[in-house]
Amino acid sequence: MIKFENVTKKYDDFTALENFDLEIPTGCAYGLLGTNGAGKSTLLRILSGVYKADAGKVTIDGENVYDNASVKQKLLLISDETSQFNGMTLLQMKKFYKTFYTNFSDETFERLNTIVNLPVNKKLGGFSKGMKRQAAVICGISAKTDYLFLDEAFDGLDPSMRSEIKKMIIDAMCDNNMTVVTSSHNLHEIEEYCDTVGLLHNGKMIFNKDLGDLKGNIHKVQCSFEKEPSKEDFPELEILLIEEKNGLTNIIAKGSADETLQKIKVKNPKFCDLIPLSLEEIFIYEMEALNYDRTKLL
Amino acid sequence: MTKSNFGKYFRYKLSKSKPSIIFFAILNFLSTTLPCIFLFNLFNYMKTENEGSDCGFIEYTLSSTYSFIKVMVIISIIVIIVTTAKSMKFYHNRTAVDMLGSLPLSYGERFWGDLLSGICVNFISFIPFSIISLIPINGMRSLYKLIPTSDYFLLETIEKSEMIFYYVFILIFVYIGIYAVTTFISSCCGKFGSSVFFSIVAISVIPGIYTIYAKWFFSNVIGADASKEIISNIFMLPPLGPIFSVIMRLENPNVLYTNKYDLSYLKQPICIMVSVLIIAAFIAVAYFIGKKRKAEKTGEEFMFKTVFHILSLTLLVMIIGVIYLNFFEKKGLTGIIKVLLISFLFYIILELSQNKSFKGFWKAVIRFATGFGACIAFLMIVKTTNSFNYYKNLPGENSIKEIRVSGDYFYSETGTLKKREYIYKAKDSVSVILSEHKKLLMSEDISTGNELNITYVTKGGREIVRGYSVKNDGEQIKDFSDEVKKLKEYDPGVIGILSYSDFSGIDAFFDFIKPHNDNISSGYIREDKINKLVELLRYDIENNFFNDNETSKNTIGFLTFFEIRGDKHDNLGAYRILTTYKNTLDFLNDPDNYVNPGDDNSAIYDISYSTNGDEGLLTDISISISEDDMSEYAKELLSYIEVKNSPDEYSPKIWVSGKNSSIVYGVRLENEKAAIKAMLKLFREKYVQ
Repeated sequence: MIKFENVTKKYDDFTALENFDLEIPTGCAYGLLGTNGAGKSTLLRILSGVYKADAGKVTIDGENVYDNASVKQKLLLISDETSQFNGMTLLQMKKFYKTFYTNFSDETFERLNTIVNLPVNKKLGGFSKGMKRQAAVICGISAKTDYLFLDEAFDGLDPSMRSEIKKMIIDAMCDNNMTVVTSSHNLHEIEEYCDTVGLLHNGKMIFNKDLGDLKGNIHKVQCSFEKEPSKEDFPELEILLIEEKNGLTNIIAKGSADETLQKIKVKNPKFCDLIPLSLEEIFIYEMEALNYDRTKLL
Repeated sequence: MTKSNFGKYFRYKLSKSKPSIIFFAILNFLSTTLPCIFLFNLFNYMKTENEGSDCGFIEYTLSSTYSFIKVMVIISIIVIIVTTAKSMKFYHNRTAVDMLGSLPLSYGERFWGDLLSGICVNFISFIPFSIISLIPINGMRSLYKLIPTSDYFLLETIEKSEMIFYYVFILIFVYIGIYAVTTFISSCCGKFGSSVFFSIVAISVIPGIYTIYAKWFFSNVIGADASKEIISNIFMLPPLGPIFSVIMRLENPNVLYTNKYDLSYLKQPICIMVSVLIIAAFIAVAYFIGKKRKAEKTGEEFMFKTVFHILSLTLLVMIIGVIYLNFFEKKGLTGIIKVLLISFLFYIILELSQNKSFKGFWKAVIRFATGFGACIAFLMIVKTTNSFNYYKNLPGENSIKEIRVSGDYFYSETGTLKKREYIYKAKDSVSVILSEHKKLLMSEDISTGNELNITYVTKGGREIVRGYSVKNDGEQIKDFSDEVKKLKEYDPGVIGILSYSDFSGIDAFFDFIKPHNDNISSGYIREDKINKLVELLRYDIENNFFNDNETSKNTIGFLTFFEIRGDKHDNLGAYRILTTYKNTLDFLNDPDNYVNPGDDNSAIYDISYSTNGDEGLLTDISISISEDDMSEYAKELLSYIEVKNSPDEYSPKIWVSGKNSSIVYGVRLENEKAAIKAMLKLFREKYVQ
């Protein structure tokens, strides 16, 4: 269990996190969303014990993280920058992690490298950005830590490799009950394997929800009425958006699918159909409902 | 609780540093073992050649060795700073912060892992090479005991080997000290360049400021010898102080004429303890600062601005001292304004390099004004108050181990014309000398000089040296000397040739330096008369030294005793013959006492040989030869004499003057050895046998 309690982090005059609270349960795949500078990397670095919070408490399994080697043995951070490994070969990188992480599995490393097929004796400085990231991820997974933190982990990866990496992470989570926290500014990247997402904005968590609940609790209904309806026509629905386009009315409302459809059908539409929503759409509507300008959030 | 990862991190750091270990091994070999091998080879050369060995070669080898040591020390210091700062990646590289900061390592494990692995990388090879270095030094010392010699360079080489021994010993403290300072500065800096630059500033600024300002301070202390004070005290300023001190001693030409290297101060355990404590303090501060430092500040120039301000201000103080005292001291207000402008420009550039903007510029100006004002005020006050009247500051009676007194009113030793030092250790002697010294200081006529030298050696090993001259015929110094001579410990004794009873094989040469006798200007004393001469000299010295002041004013000439064994030559001492030595002078004025008095009118060359290479005063042997001299040795000697073209290529020990005084003659360095041998043989043939 990861717990942030009233955490504040400032860089001189800039506040990266302010009175921040968050709980991430064990075994969760947590997606951390936000624009550049929202505080995602700061949060991950505090979580990894790289940075010290100016105020508040950050614990993993009940223990403080900062300057605590025993807690750090349980976690591994894959930073958004991999140039520190440029002077190493993949084998040396593996040796480096193996030195410090007692559960490091050679077998897992070999297995994962068979998938990505990276040259083991070539310096990482000669790798492409995507290859470096693959190298970091396979080492990170092979370390078999309880917690894996990935900062912009899918940057620079082509779609097929992105999919492979995601599969590796999902497998690792299934095998080891690993808790994964992934930061990204792209919803699609984390949609496939994260079960909870949080949105950071100006150092604050403005949104933190289970993805299943989120998807099951918001729906888009396309319908057509004789007369263009307004929000007030459906007082029993928690409507996030209602719009008319080419004679069709799109209603986005919170609640279960059946309940929503039923409440709309009561108004006798010419037709009424449930349209699947992408996570991005759900996100946008949720944010708009909270009066945030969606263009500034993602 | 998980097992400490310190060992793993330590091994990881070592395994990453293999090229550095090899590089440092080469450096350590070059800076310790190689100079010792040079000296040992030189010693062997001199041991076999002894007298008359090629002094040009010896001088060249000695000075090259010391220069080489200096260069290697400078290179090693820079390399240590650069590699240490580089190994502190965690402090300078944002990506390394993520990599190392998230590892299962506590701060302490990482800090000590970095520190100890760095020490191992830098110094792992130092230990074997320093041990190897001691083999030739100890070899030299053992061999030296087997061959007593008066060869000046041989003595110098062997005595300096002790200094080299000490150099090797303290080098480890110096290097670890520099390593500690660099660690401290790196923990304050967020960039590699800043770490290197400010580490260099930090290690050099304290000895630098001390040298500049102490030199100024002591130059205003009546009686103090600024350079001696600096050499003694600079050792106490680690990390660079000890190495400065040793190198300054190696190169100090004064010690060449005293054949004495006072290592007692350097050998004091307190000095080593000070070094160790300062190193420990730097490491401790580095540890705590590193713990306080914020990882996110990596990449900024200086994350602890206070340390930056301290360093930049101390650098400013040093720069002001260098510029003002070297270039503008005598230019009054104009000089101060020029120093102000130059130092202001320097300080502002330094500030801008950190802040990259003029934000808070006024604070920098205030800091500069404070630093500049304090420096100039200090310099002015020191000047006007004669360094706060420090000359009156004598060590406490209880802290004095011994007092050494020498001077013109004290009988002088032989050989190198060094003033004989009388050593007083008894409590009552110390008390009397201190009291007399204080009386002397009351006089307004005293100034810094060499007529009376008093050295206090404290129980802590420190030497406080004072040398005075006095106007008005030196009455106050004479009073001081008279009181000191009354002490029980004062023992003029008989030393050098005066203590001999058998004079067989001993020769004497007298040289009038003042017109005194129309018939004799210089000459060799008859061997059978030397006994009588020494007897008269002893009588005159014993009966006159209470009254006599040995100065060039009352010196008639120099009497040199020497001994020639085969082709080897020993100088047994030179004596000033004073106007008051009536019995000796009567003897020396009698032509019958000389082998060949007066000038040889047929001679075309006068050739003098001096072991010290110091023309005139300390001539050991002087010979006159003409071109038609049929002696085999004379012919050989003549063949070496040529007109000097370039002074550097000619022996500094052999002086040749011809009939035509406008032509300068000399003997080439490569012929020096052979010429001295021929000269000694000719001397035996012509004057003694």
